[in-house]
Amino acid sequence: MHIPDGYLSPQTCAVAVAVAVPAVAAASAAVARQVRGRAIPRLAMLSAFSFLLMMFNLPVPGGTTAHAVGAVLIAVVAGLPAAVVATSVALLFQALVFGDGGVLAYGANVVNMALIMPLVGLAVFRLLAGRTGSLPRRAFAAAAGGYAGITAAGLAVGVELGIQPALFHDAAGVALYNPYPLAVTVPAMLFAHLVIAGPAEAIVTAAGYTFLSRTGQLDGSPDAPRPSGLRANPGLVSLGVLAAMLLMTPLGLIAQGTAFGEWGGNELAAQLGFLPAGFATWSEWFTGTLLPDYGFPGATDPLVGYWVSALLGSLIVAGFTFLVFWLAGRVRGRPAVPVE
Amino acid sequence: MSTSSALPDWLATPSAVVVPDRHQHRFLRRSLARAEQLTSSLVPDEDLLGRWDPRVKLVSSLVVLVVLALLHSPWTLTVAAVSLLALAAWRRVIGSLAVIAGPVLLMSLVLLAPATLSLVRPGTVVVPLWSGQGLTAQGLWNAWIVLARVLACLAVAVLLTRTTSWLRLMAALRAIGAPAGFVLIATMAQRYLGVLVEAFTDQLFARRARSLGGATGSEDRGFVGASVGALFARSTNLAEQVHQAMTARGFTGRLRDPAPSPLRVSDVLIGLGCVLAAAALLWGDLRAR
Repeated sequence: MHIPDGYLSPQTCAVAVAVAVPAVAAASAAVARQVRGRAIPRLAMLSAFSFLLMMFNLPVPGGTTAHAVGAVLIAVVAGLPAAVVATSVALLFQALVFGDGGVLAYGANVVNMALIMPLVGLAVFRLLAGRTGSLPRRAFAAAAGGYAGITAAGLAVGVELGIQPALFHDAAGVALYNPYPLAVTVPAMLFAHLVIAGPAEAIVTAAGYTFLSRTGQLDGSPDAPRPSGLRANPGLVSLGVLAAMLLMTPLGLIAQGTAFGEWGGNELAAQLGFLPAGFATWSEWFTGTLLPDYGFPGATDPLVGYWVSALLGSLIVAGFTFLVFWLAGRVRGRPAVPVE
Repeated sequence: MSTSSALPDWLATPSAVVVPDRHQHRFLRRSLARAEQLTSSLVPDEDLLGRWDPRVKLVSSLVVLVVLALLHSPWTLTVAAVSLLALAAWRRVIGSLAVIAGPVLLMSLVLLAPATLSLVRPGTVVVPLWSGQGLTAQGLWNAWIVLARVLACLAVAVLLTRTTSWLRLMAALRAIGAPAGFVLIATMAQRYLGVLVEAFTDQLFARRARSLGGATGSEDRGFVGASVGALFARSTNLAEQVHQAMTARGFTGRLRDPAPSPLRVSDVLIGLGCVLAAAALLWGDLRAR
């Protein structure tokens, strides 16, 4: 899960840092607003806790051991911004003290484990837990959140590693960084996380949540999870969406042929033997697209056109996501982040 | 009143008790070993490199790491790795490097080995193994490149962190523009990590002391879950106490940076030397392509 230096190109690391830095900054500001003066010691302790949590070797069924990350547990119990900051600091410790994860690859590890993981895990937890007070259901939701969160992070690692040989190789075809393509890295990472790391994370998240609930640690606390009180931070959500889309973008470079249902007139005619009259009429109805066929006039390299299109599309979707979450917060008549 | 030394029947008769599948706590041993490794890593040895200005050291390390990532030739990467290993040996941090780099290199070797086979990644076979399949030149070059780069990067990280205290490292991070809040959180987290590590090891020792004969997997998983919860509760309580202590000492929530110390000429010269060496490596790499 922790990507060491040497497996990712500096370009990939730079993109990951560009995503991670504003996300961590926004999360720090959000936590500071939530808990004011207590933010510093609280986040420091959560960071130390997150670091120690990664040292717990957990026996998983099958005889082997695995360690959990704990980002989803922190997100469920203390909120998403706290999880982002605490896990980022813990990853800094790991990179510098233990050599778990590289220094240049720090941004990528933050995106995977401190951003994508708690974001996905918390979303799954809220979806399944609803507003119920039932502990078994909430514990199950926590387990599912932990499982989904670490699996999503594993998938992101697979994508980041898998795009390296296609994008960075020398003239002789020697891969300069990770040698395996997406067809290998994604299934490998998914298998490891679905079978070993996922159950470990689910157990730790559910058991930790149950313990805290049964011992009254979640009741009466000013920062107790309140399903109706917590709101997603529009900036963080849109940044997460942007990061996810940028990570998935290289998949289009390896896709072969035309996607189902996106055939042009020639392809459809070749498949059917004729071109439907309605298709011929309406397919040419609007031709004023900004970037036709993911390219633009003057772009000699189709890759440049593809990347520009992908960046523009990702920014539009992230902007739309921000708008929707911001409006939802305004309609509810409460600030996007609860202020005490 | 008569007493008998004979054992009662219920104790003398061997019972056929169904014992669950119990095993020794391998996860406890691993967790304790990592905790001990952490405790020994929290205090670095500051020597000659430790006296070097941490800001210059940090920037130089980042420059070297970026250059290492940009190198393509296995020869220049090997020169870089060997030079950094020699520097680590000279500054007596080779032991720490071995502890950290050993597992990472082993894992890298396991991951990269299949990619050297023509069966997995087609290429020019240079070491035939069976029926036309074998090790490819591309795969071997790639494995060499990645392993040399991983080793060199780890050596840089170890040289940086083992010769600089965490406090000075965080101050350097702040000096190059890291957010004040993030740096303060990381600094405090390191200080209180020792307290939580003690609680963590106490839990593990207590568990080991109270479970003769091992435990079942589900018992162990239940223990880990409860321990995680207890550790979380302890960390939040400690955070509250620390905040009260900070408030009592005049903390108002405003973060102020200490006045930075001036850079010495010798520090700048050493930093320039590192950057020039990295540039020379990059130049050599470009010529070798």
